Amino acid sequence: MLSLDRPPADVTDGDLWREGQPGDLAVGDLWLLSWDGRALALALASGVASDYALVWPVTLPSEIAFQPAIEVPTSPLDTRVLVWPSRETGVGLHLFHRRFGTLLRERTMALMIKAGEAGKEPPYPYAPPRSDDKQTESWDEAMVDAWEDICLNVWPKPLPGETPLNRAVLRAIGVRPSNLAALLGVATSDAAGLFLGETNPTHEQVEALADHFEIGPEELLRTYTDEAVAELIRPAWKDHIVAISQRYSEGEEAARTRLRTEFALAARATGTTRDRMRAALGRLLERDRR
Amino acid sequence: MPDAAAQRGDIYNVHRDATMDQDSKPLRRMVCVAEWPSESTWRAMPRITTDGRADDLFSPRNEELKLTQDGWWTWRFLRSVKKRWTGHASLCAYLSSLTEPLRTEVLDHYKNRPRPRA
Repeated sequence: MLSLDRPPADVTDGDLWREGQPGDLAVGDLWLLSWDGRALALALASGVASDYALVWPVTLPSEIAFQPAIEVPTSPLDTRVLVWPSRETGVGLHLFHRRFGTLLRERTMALMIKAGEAGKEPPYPYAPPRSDDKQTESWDEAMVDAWEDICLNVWPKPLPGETPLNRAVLRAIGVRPSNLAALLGVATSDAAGLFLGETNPTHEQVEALADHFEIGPEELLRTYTDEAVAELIRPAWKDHIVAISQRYSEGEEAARTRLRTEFALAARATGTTRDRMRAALGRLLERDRR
Repeated sequence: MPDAAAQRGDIYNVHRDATMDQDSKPLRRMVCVAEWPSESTWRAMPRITTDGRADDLFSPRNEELKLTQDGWWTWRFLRSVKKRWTGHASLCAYLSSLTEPLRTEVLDHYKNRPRPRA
């Protein structure tokens, strides 16, 4: 299991492991993903979008690996690593914590993809063929499960009480203000407010609709993105959010919410979003210290 | 047999393995976009039915393909599905196979994902 503070046995440069190298997220870079103060996995960026990236899982020599994983002889961690292009996964930017440097050039990665698609040899050798034993099977299952969890870790999560109903979804399942009023036992005017997104539903109201229409509760809520989310999703904020998390003894989701709330409280402040977010961070870290 | 071994263009109703918090939508339509004989997984591109974005591929409702609502094929939640689940009635039920020209359109959308340039 990886740790944010202790380098794995394969890695001798403890300072690099704990501090990383500065730089923006770019294709070919090796990163450590984390959530809630826990290291999740190593990842090689293969494509970068506005709020997520596509990555190839990366494992260390001490871990089980098999074809079609590819052995890369050198890395910024000063050890060979295994990259898994066949397990490319979409990952939210909020999980990117620590950059270690460039692992592969884009052209090399493009050749690896081409080799996989054409059934040819990649630029570096494949790992040995998979062993047919229980330990390998168990490790493989755990890796696939872990990367599914990483993929499905989204931020921010739509929360009842803080997020309006998604009108498009309501329409698609046949909800109108009139039957919404009947379903929830509220006045028509209140139902209209909920339907139009002017008021947020309570947890109980979301559960009632979810049960009635047999749809997931989060499906009913609108995905909420504002300037604060667009800023905080950037990996550059991760260490600061961890600092808030430790300062207030809370999880990462709560720390992110705390910083968003502090940012919103100073809505009339001037400056760029980044400047205002830095100011909000400063206030939170200084609070109660004086 | 399309249900036991996923081929590119096959659509499955995939259950999220309940290892942690329950996914809000445990079953999702996903299309096989890549598979390798030596791998224990195949790559799946999911179909979402809410909050589609400009870089997603719109997918209209299609009863023949068992796509019961309008949606979008999206790169955001690209991930691996275990081959040993493929065809399992509750974990990874086979739904349908894309036919041309839709098959090419969907697989081309996958190929055009953000990726390393040669």
